[in-house]
Amino acid sequence: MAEIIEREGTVEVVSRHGVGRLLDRVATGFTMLGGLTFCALIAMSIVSIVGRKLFAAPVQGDVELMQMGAAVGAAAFLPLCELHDHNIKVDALTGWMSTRSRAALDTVAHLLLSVAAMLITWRTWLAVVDGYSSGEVSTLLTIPMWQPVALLVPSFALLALCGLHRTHRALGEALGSTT
Amino acid sequence: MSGTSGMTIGLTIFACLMFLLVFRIHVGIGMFFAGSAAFLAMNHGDSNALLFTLNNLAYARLSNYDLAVIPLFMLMGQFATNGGLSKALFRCAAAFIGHFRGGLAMAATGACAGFGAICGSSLATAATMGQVALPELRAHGYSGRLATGTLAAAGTLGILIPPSVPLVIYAVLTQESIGKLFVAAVIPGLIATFGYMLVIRLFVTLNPASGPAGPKVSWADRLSSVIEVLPVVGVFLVVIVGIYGGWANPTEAASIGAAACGALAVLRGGMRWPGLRASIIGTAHATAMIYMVLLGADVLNAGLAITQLPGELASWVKGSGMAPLLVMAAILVVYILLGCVMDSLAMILLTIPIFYPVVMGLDFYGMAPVDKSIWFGILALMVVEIGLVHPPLGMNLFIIQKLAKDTPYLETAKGVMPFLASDLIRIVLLLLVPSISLWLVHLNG
Repeated sequence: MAEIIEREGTVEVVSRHGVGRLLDRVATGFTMLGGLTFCALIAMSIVSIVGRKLFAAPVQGDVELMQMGAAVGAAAFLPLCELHDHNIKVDALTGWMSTRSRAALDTVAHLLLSVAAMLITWRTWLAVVDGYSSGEVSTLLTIPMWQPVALLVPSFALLALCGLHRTHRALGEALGSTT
Repeated sequence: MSGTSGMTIGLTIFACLMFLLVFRIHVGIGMFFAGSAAFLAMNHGDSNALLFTLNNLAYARLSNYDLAVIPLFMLMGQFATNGGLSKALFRCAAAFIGHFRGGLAMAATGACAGFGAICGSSLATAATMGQVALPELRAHGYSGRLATGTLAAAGTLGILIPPSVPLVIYAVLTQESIGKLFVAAVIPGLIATFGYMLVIRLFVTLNPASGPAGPKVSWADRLSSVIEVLPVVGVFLVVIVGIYGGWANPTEAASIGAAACGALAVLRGGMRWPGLRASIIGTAHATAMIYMVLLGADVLNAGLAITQLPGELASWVKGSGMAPLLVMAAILVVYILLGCVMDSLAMILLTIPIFYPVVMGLDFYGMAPVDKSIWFGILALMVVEIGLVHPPLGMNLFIIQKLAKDTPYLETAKGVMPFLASDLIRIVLLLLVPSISLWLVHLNG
């Protein structure tokens, strides 16, 4: 089941100094922007339903706006989830290992996540460039399609950075440093 | 490349994926790389097809209109938690049935069902109802075993009673209607609620000291407690009736629900900026962990599709002449076993692309494809829910454990056993009598 509460033992103590702290601030900022995007979409939906029912006048292009907004908002949630190490993994079968062996496996896991995030950042950026040159627009509102796609790129880039930060931390644990 | 060697590649990829997952690779990332490997293997190492698929991966998935209900329902659940609704629900249920023996535990079950009607997550339901009901149950002399077992099991009503996040995922994967699946889940969810209450009744009959009767409450107090829960009823009706009545699609209904719970949280629960901030962060964690798996699942499914593994497997099972019910039972057992180690949503995303074509290829009671697809969705929901409560690793057990510090884990694990028995009986019932799920769907055409 999806979780909306902190798991015991994985409640993250974010580092108080340097890169970790900076990343936490930026990722939290992204999350808040994403959350406020969803709040705005909720308001838009309600105006649209009320308008449609009472005045036969829904918000023009409400489905398009929801699709674009939800994509941008949800992407902005991804970095914080990785930074706080909430992504789903099977941790039931490695309980017998030492903490350091688990940290070594986690180093690989977070590194792979960063590689995937970098690949997605790169290919999504290409999609932006393609969309810009083809001049494709959305059906009803004629919003250029490269614009919402471009807003995903910073989120995936930040996701890759958060993954690298966790890789670094896991590596430190695996090598037995105390921090 | 021929179909059989495609199938070999598909099976090899799947075995490698399992290996990655066992060794702590994130589920979505494991799927991402396994799917990529399938692309490369099928195209003899040529990466163009894979890279082309990745171009649109992120935006195509994230901008899916139906999936937008997930963050919206998550936000709704967060607001409901902040709005003090869990306390009102428990008080109301307790006012009506608390004076029976075991009545407060039944009231906690009923309150979980009520909270499940506005929240799509079991862990949130278990956590918030646990906080409200556990101290009350213990103060009234309920045994630790009954109190924790009840709450861990009843917490699963969060997903069994719609709205339900696993059903949304199932609907998106199988192109099924979210509205129909939600309606189909209503009666099985009610059966689950009554099943749990029956278990409590048996428990206190065999062991009267574990759940003493509470004081009787006057009718005036009962009525005032009902007024307190009216907002919950309102939100549920808006969401379910709105979706099924056709005047709002699921995404719009979820928006209304989130706005209503948000307003309640501000007006009644006193939610301010810190509460909103915490709600957004909770929503972000829950949404992002689902979307990461979804992104990986897209790559895996595209990769498996070109190996033709799902189709080949489905026609192999169909041609093998195995009894369809036996195949279904085997699938359900696989879910229960996987549920020992894996998150329920990850499990659905990993297995539905494989199992769904198999199920759709078989004949069950001569059912129409649409009915079969809804019925399997409900069955899958019921079995993945079991993974949350069965020892040793059910997440609900840990959550309740954390709240009930005076009850040892072993007691909670023992307490949940009779509830698990009722879960299994219910699953067999739904397996043998599909109309329990489908009747309400058919009723409204």
